[in-house]
Amino acid sequence: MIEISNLSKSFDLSSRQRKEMGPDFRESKVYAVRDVSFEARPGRIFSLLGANGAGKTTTLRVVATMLKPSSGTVKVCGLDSVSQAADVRRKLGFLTGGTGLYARLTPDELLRYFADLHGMDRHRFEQRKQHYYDLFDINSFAKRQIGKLSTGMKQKVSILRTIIHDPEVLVFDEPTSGLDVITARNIIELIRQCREDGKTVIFSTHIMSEVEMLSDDLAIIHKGSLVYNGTYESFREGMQTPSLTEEFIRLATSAETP
Amino acid sequence: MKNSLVIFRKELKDVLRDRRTVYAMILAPVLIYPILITAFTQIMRVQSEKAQEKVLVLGIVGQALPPSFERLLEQQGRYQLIEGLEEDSASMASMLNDSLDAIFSFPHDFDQQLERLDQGSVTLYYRGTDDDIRGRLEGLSASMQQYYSAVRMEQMNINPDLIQPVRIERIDMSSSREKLGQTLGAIFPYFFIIFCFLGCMYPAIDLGAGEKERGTMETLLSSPASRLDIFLGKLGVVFVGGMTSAVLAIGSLALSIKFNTQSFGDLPEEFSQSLSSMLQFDTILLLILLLLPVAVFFASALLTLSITAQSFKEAQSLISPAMILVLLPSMVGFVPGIHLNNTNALIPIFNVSLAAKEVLAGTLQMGPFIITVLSLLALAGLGIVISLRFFKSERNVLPT
Repeated sequence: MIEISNLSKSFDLSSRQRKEMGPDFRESKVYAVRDVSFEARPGRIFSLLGANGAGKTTTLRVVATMLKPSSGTVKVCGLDSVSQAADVRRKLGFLTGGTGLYARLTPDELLRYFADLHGMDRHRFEQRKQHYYDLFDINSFAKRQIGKLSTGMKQKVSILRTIIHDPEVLVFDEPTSGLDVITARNIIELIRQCREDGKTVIFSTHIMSEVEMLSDDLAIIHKGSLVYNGTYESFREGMQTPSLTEEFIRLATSAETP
Repeated sequence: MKNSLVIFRKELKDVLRDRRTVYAMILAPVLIYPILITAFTQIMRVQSEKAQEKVLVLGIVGQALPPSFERLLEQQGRYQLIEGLEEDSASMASMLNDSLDAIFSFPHDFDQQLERLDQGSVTLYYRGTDDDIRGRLEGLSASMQQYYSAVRMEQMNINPDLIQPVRIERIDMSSSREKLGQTLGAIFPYFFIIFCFLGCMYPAIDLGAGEKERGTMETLLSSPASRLDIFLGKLGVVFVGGMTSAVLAIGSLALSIKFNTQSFGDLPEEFSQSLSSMLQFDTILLLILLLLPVAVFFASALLTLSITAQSFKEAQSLISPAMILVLLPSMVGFVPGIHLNNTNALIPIFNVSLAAKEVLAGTLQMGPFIITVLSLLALAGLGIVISLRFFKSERNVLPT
C-alpha cells in the first residue's frame, strides 16, 4: 500500500538555473510536484501518466525515499518515507527503463549483492534465484559479465534484481523506455504477475497503450499537479473524447486554462 | 555498517575489473618506474662508458707540440693528436663540428717558457655544448695543472707542502642514509603523493560520476543501504586504491633503484646499505602513518568532486585542475634547505613532502612530525564531513 498525502517537492535553483529560466523568473525554487495525493493498493496496478517533465520520476523517487518531500507525507506499507526510510526501502523493488546494472559483475554476483543489501538469508536467496533462473532461462549466462549480455538478457537480470527479495511494493519508473518490443513485453508481463501475486504496483509512463493494458487505477500528472485520480474504469466512463491520448491532451490543456 | 562492508566488497571487485583503474592503481606504479629507471640508468651508464672510453681527437695549431704535453697525453692515454692546423677561427670551428674534439694552441717556445720559470700559456678551443667532451677536457686541464706544478716544484727543488701551508681534511659526519635521504628523500614523497592521488582518482570517478552516468546509483539508492553505508563503502574502496598505488609505487621505486645501482661500480654497497636502512620497519611505519590520512583526504576530496559531476568526462575535467594543486606542494622536497618545522607542518601536502623526506633521511624531529600527522588527520576528518554532506545532497547524488 502506498499513501501519498499533499506531496510537494521543490528544488532550489542556482543563480545559473534562474538565469536560464528567463528574465521574468523571480522564484528561488521550482516545484516538480505540488500538492499531490493518491493511494496505490495491494493487488492492483496504479498507473502514473504524464508527459516528460510532468513530475512522475520525482514522485516515484520520493516513494522510493531517494528524495525527501518538501511538504506532505508518503507512507509505504504504513511506514513513513522520511523517518523510516530504510524500512521502506526493504519493502520496495525499484526498476527504471535503464537496466541499472553493473556491467563488470555477473548476474550471480549482482543478485547476491542486492540480496545481501536486503539482508536475505542464503538459503532463501538460492531458492528464489534458482526458481527465477529456470523461469527466465538465465542459467546459461549467469556467470558471464553483464556488460557482455544482450539487452534482453540484461533486462531479465534487471527484473530479477528488482524482485529477488520478494518486495511488497514495486515501483516502475518508465520501465519500458528505450526497450525493444519483445523486452518491453517481458516487463509488462512482470507487472501483471506482480498484481497476480498481490503486490502493490505503481508505474509511471507516457505510453498510452501501456496504461490501457495494465491500469486498475490511474493518476494523470501535468506540470507537477494531478489532473485526474481515480479508477481506470471510471476514467474510461467519463472520457469526453474518443481516445485516451486525446482525453489526456484535453485534461492537460484544461488544467492550463485559468 | 554491515551494508558498508557489502558495498565495499562489491565496489572493490567491480573496480578491479576495470582496466583503467587496474592500470592506474596497480600496473602503472609497478611497471612504469622499473621501466623508466632501468632505461634511464642503462642509457646513462652506456653514455658514460662511451664518454670515458672514447679516444679524444685533439688538434694542435702549427707544429708547436711541446714534448712535455705529448708525454702527459701518453700517460693519460685515449688521445689522438693531429698537428699542423692553421690558426683560423672559421676553419677551427668547422673542424670542431666535424672531426676534432678540441684544439690546443701552444706558443712555439712553450717548454722553454716553463724551463725559464715563466708562465706557459695555452689556448684551448672546444664546444661547450657537448657535456661528455667538456668533462674530459676539464679533467685534462686539471691534470696539466698538476703535472706542470709537480715538474716546476721538482725543478726548483721545493717540497710541494711548502706552497700548501694548510691541508684541510674534510670529514663528512652525516651518514650515507642522511645524504641519500636528501636526494631520494625528495623523490619518494613526490611519487607516493602523486600515485596516492592517481590511485584514488579512477575509482573515485568510477564510483561517483560513473555510477550516476550508468544509472546504477538510483538502483543502489533504492536498496536498504543508507547514504552513509554507500558513502563509507565507496570511500573505503577509493582509499584502498590510493594506498595500494602509493605503496606499490614506493616499493617498485625502491627495488628499481636498488637493482639499477648494482650496475655502477664503487657506489652500490654503501648505496644499497643506505637504501636498506631507509626501508626498515620503523621508517615504513612512519611513512604509512603519513600516507593514511593523506589517502583518506584524497579519497574524500575526489569522491566529492566526482559525485557533483554528472558524467565520467565531467568528473575528469573537474579533477584534473585539482591535480595541479597536489603536484606543486609535493615538489617542495626537491628544494634544498627547507626543513619541516612547526609552521610548515600545518600546510597540507607540503608537510607530507617535507616530513617524508626527514623520515627517510633519519633526521625527523618528533614535534613537527606529530603536528603534521594531527593536521593531516584533521584534514582527512574535514574531507569526510564535507564529502558526506555532498553525498547526502539530493541534487548531487541523483542523476538529473
